[in-house]
Amino acid sequence: MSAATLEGDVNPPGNPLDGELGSPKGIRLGEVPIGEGSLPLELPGQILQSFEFAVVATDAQGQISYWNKAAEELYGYSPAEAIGRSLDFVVPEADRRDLLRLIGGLRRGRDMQITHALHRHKDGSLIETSATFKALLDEQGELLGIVATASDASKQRRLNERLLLAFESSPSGMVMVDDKGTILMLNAETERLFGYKRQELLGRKVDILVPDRFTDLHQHHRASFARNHTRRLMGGGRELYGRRQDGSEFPVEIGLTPVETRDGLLVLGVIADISGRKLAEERFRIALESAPCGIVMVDHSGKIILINLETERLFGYSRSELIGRAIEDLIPQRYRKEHVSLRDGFARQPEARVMGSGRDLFGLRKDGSEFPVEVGLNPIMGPDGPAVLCAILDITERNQTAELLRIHAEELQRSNNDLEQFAYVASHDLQEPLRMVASYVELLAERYQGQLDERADKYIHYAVDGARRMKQLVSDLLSFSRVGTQGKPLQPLETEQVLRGVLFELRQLAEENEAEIMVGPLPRVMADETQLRQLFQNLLSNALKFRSDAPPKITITAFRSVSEVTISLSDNGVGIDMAYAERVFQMFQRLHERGKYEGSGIGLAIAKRIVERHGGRIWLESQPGQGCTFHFTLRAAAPPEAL
Amino acid sequence: MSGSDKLRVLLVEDNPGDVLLITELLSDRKTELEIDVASDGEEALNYLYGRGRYQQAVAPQLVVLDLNLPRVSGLDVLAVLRKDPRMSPLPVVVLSSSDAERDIVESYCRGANTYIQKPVDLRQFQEAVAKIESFWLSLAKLPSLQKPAPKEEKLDD
Repeated sequence: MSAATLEGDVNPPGNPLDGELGSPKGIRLGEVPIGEGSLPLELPGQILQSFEFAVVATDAQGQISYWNKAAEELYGYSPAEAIGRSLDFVVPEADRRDLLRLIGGLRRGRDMQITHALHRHKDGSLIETSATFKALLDEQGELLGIVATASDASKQRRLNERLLLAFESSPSGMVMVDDKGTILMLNAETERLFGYKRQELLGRKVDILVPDRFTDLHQHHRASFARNHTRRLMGGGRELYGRRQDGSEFPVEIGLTPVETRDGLLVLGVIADISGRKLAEERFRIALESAPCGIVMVDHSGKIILINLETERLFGYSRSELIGRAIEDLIPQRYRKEHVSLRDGFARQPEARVMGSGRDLFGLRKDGSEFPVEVGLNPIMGPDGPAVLCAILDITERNQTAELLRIHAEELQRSNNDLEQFAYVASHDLQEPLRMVASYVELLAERYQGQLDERADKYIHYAVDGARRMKQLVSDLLSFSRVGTQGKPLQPLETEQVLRGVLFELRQLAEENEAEIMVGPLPRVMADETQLRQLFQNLLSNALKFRSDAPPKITITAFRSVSEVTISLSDNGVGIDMAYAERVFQMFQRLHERGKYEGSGIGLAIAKRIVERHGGRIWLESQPGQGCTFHFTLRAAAPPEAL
Repeated sequence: MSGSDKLRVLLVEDNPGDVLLITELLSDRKTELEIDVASDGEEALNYLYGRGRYQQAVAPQLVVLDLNLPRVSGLDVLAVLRKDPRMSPLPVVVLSSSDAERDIVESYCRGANTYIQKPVDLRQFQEAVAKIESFWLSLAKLPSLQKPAPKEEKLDD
């Protein structure tokens, strides 16, 4: 009998897939030198001891003569307890007959494998084992002994179960086919992907999963894979599709792994449904292509590696003409040299920003024409190294719009100035003839009132009254138009000093009213001094004029933000219904009937005009009977030490 | 002022309305005033220098001068008078409707003795005229000028 081998249909114990049962390194079971005619006891004990599966040998009568360490671990008996006993002492009584039959078979030279047997452990429990039995025969065919190996089958079973489970529950479809393309195995995901039941696929040709138009090609490729098989992705860059049972198709990616078995070459196909990725790619493509700006990706050397549709449209090049070109080809010649160095600078310090920092940028079309652009730069880490994503916007229209707006603004400014000038000149020049009219009707009244008849006196009265009102209006209009036409440049002013001057001028009015005026610290502002005085004067006069029965209390405070000073002037006067809060700032708007208060209603309009000319805002807060607070803002002036 | 001679005032004013107003208001108070009127700057200079139809004209003690005048403006009249040593002592009251800063400053620069804006209001106008009268024609001592011999005066320097 030649060397005993343990190969068979069953996995040898110490399956290389099982880390727990790994066979001793460097020892191949098939080559264990169980010498011809020799007893297993002659095997180098060290080797047998090192096996992780139980090795038990008997003599011809079935008395145990060898018991290795793994056997001790498996059954719980030490060699001393086992040697000399009958081989069946670990077999439950009910099964001993079978063992006898098996040994009978062995005597007739038949090796046996039992993949699943229940043996009894020393502690009385039953253990799942798989075992092999081999007869050792002499040259005459006489039984010399039996070598049995056993291992814990529960481990093996669990391992197999796990492997199956892994295969089964893989998120990818897995199909094992033989060299003829017959499906031998498949997992649940494959069923799900293709919409077949397992039984409908097992034994069928794998072509059933391939759309008809690819069938021929697939057979061809399968044949060549069989000749030259390496683990690789199927399709070599082509788009692959799977065909479902209902005939519909879906994009797939397939990994092919050749598996050599004793049954020949098998191929494991791992199939991933890439519809989701395809969808994402399609969405990306649509987003890229329909972006309203040109998008250009440039690699670290300045080469264009990606563009979108809008880029083609903007520059007049086709995609194939641009990919691989230098980005400088899209820039007018005069800027190219500078651009290269700027690009190097950007590569050293990449940050997302707008290109050009305020300079005008131009794109160069294929036809040589130029157009103004705005370019956003975004450094990215592309799949093949650092790159820059440029978003390019044609701003021809925007520039035109901006230019139109500028022209409009200029025209508005001019017509505004003209209007102001007109108002000024009109009110100024009206004064002369008006003075004549007013003076003579007054002179007439003075000298002839009562000398004519009653009716004439009435005429004179109305003429005088009208002339007086007109004088007031013309003079107010003149003051108002002067704010815009006679203004001086703004300069840093000591606000408190200006206000003190105004309070001095108003001291008599304030005294008459028994007014109490409190002034908080006021920061310096940028203003035209004459106009700032007038502003304070108008607001203070307003507060004194619209006093309540109580003596006026006026508080002037200021709040300074970074660039702006808000000055607030509060009084305890009659207040204003907020419904009229806007109207009080309009020219010649009076909230009270004529005669109750003096004035034509120009004071606050002038105040507003002054504040607006200074680039500020003016508003008020009030409740009738609760007093009133006017707020206005002016540009803050730097403190004197900073000048 | 010499003896019982009436005070002579030259009113340079192109607006007849103002001429009437001023003369009426002045003569309200005094009867001892001689008011001569020139209706533009050229006529004023002819009067002062006794040229043309003014050869018999007597030199005034006071000039009341409007600024906005045809042909030769009030400011130019001032300039001529102040450059002429014989004329420079003549007191000139500018009475203008302008309140423009540059007019005021320029008038004084060219030697106006006072600048009064014509008040729009009649009462104020009356008051202004009364004050001119009481100050210049009562309180102030005015020089008596000899009328210079007729000769051409240059306006352009």
